Amino acid sequence: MNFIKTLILLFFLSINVETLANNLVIIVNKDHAVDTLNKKQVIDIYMGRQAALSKELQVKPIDLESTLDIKREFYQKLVNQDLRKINAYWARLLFSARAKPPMKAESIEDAVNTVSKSVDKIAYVPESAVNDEVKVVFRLDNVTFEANSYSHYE
Amino acid sequence: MFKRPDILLTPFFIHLKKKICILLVALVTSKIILFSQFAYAEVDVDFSGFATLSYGHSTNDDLKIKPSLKNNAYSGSSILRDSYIGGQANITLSDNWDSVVQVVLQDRVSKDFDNYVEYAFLRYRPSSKTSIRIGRIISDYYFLTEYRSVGAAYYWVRPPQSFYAFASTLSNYDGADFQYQTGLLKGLFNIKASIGTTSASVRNLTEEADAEFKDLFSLSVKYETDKLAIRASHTEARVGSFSNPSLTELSLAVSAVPESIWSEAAVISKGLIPEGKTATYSSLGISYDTSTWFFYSEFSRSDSTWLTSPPTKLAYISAGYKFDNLTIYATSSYASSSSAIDTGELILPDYLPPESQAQLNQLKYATDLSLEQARVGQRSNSIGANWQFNHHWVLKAQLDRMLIDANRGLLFEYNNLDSLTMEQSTKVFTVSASVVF
Repeated sequence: MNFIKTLILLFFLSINVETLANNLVIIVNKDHAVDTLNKKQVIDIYMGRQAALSKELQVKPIDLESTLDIKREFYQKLVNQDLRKINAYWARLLFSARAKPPMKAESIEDAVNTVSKSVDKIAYVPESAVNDEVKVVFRLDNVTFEANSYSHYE
Repeated sequence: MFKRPDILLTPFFIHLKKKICILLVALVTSKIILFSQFAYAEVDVDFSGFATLSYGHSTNDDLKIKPSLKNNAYSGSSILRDSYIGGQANITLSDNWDSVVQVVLQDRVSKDFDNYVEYAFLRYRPSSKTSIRIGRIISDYYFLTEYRSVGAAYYWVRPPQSFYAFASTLSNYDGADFQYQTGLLKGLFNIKASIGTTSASVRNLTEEADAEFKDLFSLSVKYETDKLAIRASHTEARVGSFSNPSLTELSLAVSAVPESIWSEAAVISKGLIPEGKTATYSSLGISYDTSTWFFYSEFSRSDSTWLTSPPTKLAYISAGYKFDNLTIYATSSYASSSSAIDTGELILPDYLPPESQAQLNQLKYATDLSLEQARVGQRSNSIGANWQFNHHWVLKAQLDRMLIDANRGLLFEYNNLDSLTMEQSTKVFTVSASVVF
């Protein structure tokens, strides 16, 4: 019996460890002045609203290729929108000459490496990909949003 | 005497118009570094594009429909009416300087290359909150004016025709704008002031005309959050020239009538001449767009000292519901010009020969008809659906029912001009596929 309880405990522990490792986090270069961001600031950065941000938060966002599941998960958790709607949003901004979509990294490793080398870049990656050259400024999995809502300002 | 800065700058912008296009296109193709301050910066050029392939069929063979006064009109079935293909180059010169060139191929009345260039500007951003642009800029009068050719960026097959076709003559301009935007409460506040000139080849009911507008001044404010957007704008422009031989002939003929016969003749003759007349456009819009439904509505009022451009009110309201990637919507739009001015009565002396009396009556009739037919009076109701079946592709289908009042079909053309004098209606069914790349 104790053996079964131990197995069940280990099973749930393994899930938690895996979830923690795959938590989506926002990273900046370790030398960047900012240590924490809130959700509104992350949304403003990734949705092209640089004007709403203070000077120290003027960072260049790095996006990932649409083929990566993590991208779909990121926008779903950040603004509760799927990638098709995000693409339509950026089509409006791009072709009205207001803003360009974020630059794209080819892989998660590429995104981490870019942030490691540039103080003015920001990226979203699984927590398991974080290295010593970057720091976590926001954790997306700590965020909850209303069902069927696009309201996410704190 | 103090002069408005836009008046002082008008000759400069006219001169600038062609130069800026040539300069910026050259910049795209050759990646030339424009200023010495960029000599050590890498010029980054990103190309992107959009296209819409559309097929539409209208049921009224007399009535020719067009999405814009600058585009050709078609009755019956048409592929060209709502089809576009566009390319854009975003050229980043430095952190503060960039340039955008956008060319949209569509079925324009005039085939000059100039009529296909929508953006060709150089932008300086002193800070993230302010920007100054100079060159060819798309007008920002209504919600969708800045991306009306990008079908994948909005819900409908086309922006509501009753509303968006009216001010399409001023759809872009050569000049400059200054923009300031900042975070406010939970959203973004934006204010923009623009000055410039513009010209367009348009086709009215019977003939083509080249219009030039000078001293264009526009002010717009916008506040938007994730769901809500509210905008207001006001635009003024002065007609520089308007080549329309029929109108010129009519004005000359009216001016030749003695005041004793037609007391209003001098005023009407002067009012028919477009040069120097002013036109104003004011608009107010609100939209609310969530992940499950949307609502858009805009109202606009135009006025002019030019008799053939009477005060006109335009409005539309549209709402839709979203089922995942499928959106269904309904739109109702309206455009109506105020009554034509009273041109008075002819006092025909008995001593005038019958032929002369007939000619004067004919001139009076032609004048009244010209003023009457310069008005807009139409309503349309539409239902439609769009399916975003891919990250970049959208399929749309829309059914419109349009009602046009007698003699008020300025936003249409007629295969048979007699039809203009009668109320007309038509149904238009359109399917389209839009993509961004």
